[in-house]
Amino acid sequence: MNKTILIAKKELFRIFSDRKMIFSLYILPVIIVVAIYSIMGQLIGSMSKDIEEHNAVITVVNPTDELKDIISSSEMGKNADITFVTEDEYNSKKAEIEDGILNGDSDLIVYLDKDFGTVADSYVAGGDSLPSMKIYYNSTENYSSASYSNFGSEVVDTYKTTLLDSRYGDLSMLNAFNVDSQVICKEEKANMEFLAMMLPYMVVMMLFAGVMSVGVDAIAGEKERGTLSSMLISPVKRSEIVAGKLIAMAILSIISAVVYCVAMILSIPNITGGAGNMGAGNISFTVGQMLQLVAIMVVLVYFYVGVIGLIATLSPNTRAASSAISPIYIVIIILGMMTMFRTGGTNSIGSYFIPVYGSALAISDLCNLELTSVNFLASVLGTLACGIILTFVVAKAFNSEKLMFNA
Amino acid sequence: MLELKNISYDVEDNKEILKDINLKIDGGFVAITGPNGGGKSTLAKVIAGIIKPTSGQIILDGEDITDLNITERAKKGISFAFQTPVKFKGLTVKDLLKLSMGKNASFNEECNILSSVGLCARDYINREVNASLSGGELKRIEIAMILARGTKLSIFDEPEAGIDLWSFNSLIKVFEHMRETVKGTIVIISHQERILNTADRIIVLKEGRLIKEGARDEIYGELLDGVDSGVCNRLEENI
Ligand SMILES: Nc1ncnc2c1ncn2[C@@H]1O[C@H](COP(=O)(O)OP(=O)(O)OP(=O)(O)O)[C@@H](O)[C@H]1O
Ligand SMILES: [Mg+2]
Repeated sequence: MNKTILIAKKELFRIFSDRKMIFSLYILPVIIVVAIYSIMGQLIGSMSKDIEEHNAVITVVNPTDELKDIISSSEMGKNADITFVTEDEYNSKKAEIEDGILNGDSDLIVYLDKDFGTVADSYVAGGDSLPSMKIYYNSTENYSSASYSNFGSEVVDTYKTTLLDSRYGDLSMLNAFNVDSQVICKEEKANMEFLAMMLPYMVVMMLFAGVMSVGVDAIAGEKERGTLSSMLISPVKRSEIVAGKLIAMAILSIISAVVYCVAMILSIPNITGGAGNMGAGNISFTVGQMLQLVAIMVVLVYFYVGVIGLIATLSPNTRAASSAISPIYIVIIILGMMTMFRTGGTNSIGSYFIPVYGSALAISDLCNLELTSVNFLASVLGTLACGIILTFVVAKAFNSEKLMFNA
Repeated sequence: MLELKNISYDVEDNKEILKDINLKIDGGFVAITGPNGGGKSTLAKVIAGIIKPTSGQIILDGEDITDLNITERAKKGISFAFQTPVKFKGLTVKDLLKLSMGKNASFNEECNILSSVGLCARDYINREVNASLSGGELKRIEIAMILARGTKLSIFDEPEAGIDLWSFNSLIKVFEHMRETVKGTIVIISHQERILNTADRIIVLKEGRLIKEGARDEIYGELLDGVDSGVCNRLEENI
């Protein structure tokens, strides 16, 4: 045990006394994370600014006087290019207007039933039937989608409130218990969604890169330089050497995991700040969630240490090790990306047992506040089990003179 | 006592690197010499357990150790110093001694070991074993590690390699000192006349065969007489 600590100490010392190593292991990744997030923030920011500056093109069919008033007094009414048409005019140009929506020349069609005014009046007077309004927009067009949501919040909601107001009198009581909390929820959800998309990928990829830069040199590099041979000739048990090296690799990688996460969470405001109306909401993990995240990362690091330890042990030198690791790195990146573009739906528990992929799923769920404890356990146990098996294989490989001395 | 029985070592393309070596080494200071490519390093690796002989047996103190791996042999008391000394970035001299002895040493013990290789413990004990040490210092530290282990069979592969004349002189003194103090067997692979001169026995390997073996005086005389031109040419180059 004593010797294991000595060997682990040696590995740690080797890294921390090397400025280049510290830079590539801890500083460079942080710079990359912050840069990626800032660039994405800029892009999203300029996109939403562009949408804000765009003058919406809207056609309103059968407008009531009240609606016209509301539109002209709203923010939209000042900037948007709004055409009011009657039912007959609309029918005669229907194809043309709808094409406009399709190809993006026009953003919104607001269609009020012919008898909207009458029905609305009778509703205000206490009638049962509701007036009906249809809104057509193109969800694949950013301008159109933005117009839809702006029109909804600035005009439709106001109109609705006006009608309800006239029917029931004072609505302040109704308003009192919903609006505020809803807005906050929305912002946090938006931030969390973004985090949910990026975090699994970042964690899965960056952790691997960290272990890779340390592990290859610690085993294959030492082999190449002959240090490992000399070490094996001393009466130190091989299992102690293996343990010392793997422990050091894990410690270094966990430090990098923490560094990345902190960098990532700190740079979230960059992106949400730039995103304008998404708002600079705050990401808040509870302590429990933090612990889960740490557990997932620690186990994942252990698995990576096993994978890279094994490859480095089987390879005669660092070059062979690096080239054997590259394809695995690509697989890891793909696994991380797969969770990035996951479209809803729940994954079966079996997929959480798959190392790396299961961890990425769990982190993604964690950010979406959807991680069940069963799935959490599955991801941790699956990865842990594979890590343990790999550790045994590495220890076994260390006992082969052929592998250790390239004889 | 180490005994080699019919040791042969072949590589894939039917090349025989060691051919039927029979040898008994029983204490004292033994030098192995011979021309480049004669099989000296290979023989040393076979004894240490880094490579397995294709056929033959290795007996240490009556026990067959042919199938033991290097770490098991190390525990039985065989130590081996590679032809080129290695650096242990991140480990201090003290750490290395600790690894070799398998326990924490008192400063006195450390001091004794280091001074027997001509190093002052106070100056070196906390030095990191990295490129800042000179080649001669590294070599001495490596020898100190083997002394610290106090093994019954210590094998050095060309300990003089890469050592300047000054360091070489003190290295010779270290070996002479070792010869007087160490009870076990010391095997040194060397081309150097002065090292051969300190040996009790000399073994000559050529083209994978053991061509001569005996007390220093008889073998050494023959070597200088030029009976074996290959070895002699090699020796003269070095002298
Ligand atoms: N794995 C191997 N495959 C092929 N040839 C080998 C292998 N190992 C050693 N040899 C060959 O065996 C011969 C003996 O090598 P060895 O290293 O034992 O020589 P040596 O006596 O130590 O020489 P030197 O004085 O140069 O150190 C050489 O010709 C070498 O090329
Ligand atoms: Mg040699």
